[in-house]
Amino acid sequence: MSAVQLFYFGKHDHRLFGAFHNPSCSIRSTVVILCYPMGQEYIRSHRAFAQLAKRLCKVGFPVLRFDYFGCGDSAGDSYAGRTTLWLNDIRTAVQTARDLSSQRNVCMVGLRLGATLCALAAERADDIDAAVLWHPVVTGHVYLDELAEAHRRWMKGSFARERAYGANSEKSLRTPAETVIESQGFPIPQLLASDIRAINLSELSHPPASNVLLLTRRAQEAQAGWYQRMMAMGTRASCQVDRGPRVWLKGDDGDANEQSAGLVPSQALATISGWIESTCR
Amino acid sequence: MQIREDAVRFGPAGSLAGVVAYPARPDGKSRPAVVLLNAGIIHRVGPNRLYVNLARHLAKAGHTVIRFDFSGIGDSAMSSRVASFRERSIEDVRAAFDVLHADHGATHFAVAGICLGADVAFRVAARDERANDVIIINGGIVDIEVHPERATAALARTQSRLYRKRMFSAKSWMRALRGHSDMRAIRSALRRLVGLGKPGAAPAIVDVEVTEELRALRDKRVLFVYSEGSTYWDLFKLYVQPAITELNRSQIEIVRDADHVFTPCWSQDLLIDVISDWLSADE
Repeated sequence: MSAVQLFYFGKHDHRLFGAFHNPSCSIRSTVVILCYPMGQEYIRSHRAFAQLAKRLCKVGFPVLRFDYFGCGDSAGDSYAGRTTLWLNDIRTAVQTARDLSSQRNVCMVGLRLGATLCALAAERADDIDAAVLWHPVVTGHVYLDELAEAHRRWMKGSFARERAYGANSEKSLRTPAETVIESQGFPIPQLLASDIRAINLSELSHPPASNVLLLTRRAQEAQAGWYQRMMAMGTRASCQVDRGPRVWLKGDDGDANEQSAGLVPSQALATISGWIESTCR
Repeated sequence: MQIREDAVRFGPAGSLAGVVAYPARPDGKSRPAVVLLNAGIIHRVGPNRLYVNLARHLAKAGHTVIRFDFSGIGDSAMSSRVASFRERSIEDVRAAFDVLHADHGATHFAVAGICLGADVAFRVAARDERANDVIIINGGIVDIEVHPERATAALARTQSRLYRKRMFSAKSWMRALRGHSDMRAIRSALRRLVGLGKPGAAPAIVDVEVTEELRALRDKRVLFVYSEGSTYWDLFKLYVQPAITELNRSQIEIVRDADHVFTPCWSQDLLIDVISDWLSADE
């Protein structure tokens, strides 16, 4: 298998980092784009995504992984992210993936907020063939509450304490005073929090893709309004339960722990790659 | 100072993956190139994206900085050599030195890392004359796989320190008085605290290998940074610090109220400032 190609793409003042997996065997007609979660969930799922990309590449799918602006290796400070920017980043990634692979068909795979952004970006693009929504964030304000609670619980059990540092100095440029939520190592500034709060998958007005796989922890999610609505719009959707380790969680959240950054949820990856192989050309 | 970032492939058959940050217009001053090493198996962005922020901060101050993935971590391929991680990681760092020399003319280096990365930084600096500065952040340095009882001893000290900290925390008492505390957990903690007792004076147990490595670092600049919440601080105090006298130019910084990977944002800012100030102190 070819080495993973690492590169920067996008506009000069908005550079995004990408990792492109180009198969050395015969190439399928669909390029896959992987959309990460944000914050600590990104850190802890990076290995799983890299493994998923390798798995798909091995069976002939070109794959692009990339980091949103203000995240990972991409340009931008950690408090510069906005979902509006990230939706544009996904569109740029789609075009870049098509150019690199010379394939027109696109399958997007997103985890957590990445899944939500996939659905929103694909809805507007109207030319995405398949999408895997892996534990998507359905309602933004619920997600923010979960992040805040996870942070509070983690802080309570750890050695770490809140401290004011550099609030009134040049240092505050890195952690601006207007930050409203701290999420286990990552700041969520007000603007980003507002963007996320406004998210509600029930308001999807167009199907994100012709074919959708929802991977969720609870089978009941298939009865949720947003999922039923998506099916009513003509999407060929299927829902599968994933009760594997939630490797993207930090701290003592049931099955997660401080070591989970290294885990690979093999069953979920097998489900996703199996579905893509059978659904995409 | 404006900076640039390049994605790089280097090492044997381009198997290693990294990102280099550097000044867009170097000012000509001689500064060490900085090499940031994986914290455990977290890829090159570092815990909480700390390495990205640190690399950019140092690049703006004029340094060339690489953060890369060891073989088998992140986007670096597994090495085809049958060798231990200890051997492979040292070679990986040397490959990073080579690419910074080839692409940016770097001749001397500061090697830094958290946890596992700190241990590798220590070993590389003890073996490679190009590494003049070494920054060890929450590095245990001693091999706890060979001596697991040391990890147990260090962890007992960390727990004891945590329980004492909570016992004397006004916030904890207020929670208890308002009935918001888990009283069963508090009783359990008190029993443990009594059982642990006050840790005695550190025994001077420093491995011969570690002492030799410290001697190899004698004239190099060495910065040790430890979080109050890291068990590796206790490992250091028990099994390394007694031999620190071997070093002529070392400094130890303790970050209170921080955990092993600097989760609170303020602690990341503080760590970046500590490192940046220390590096610039030698300019």
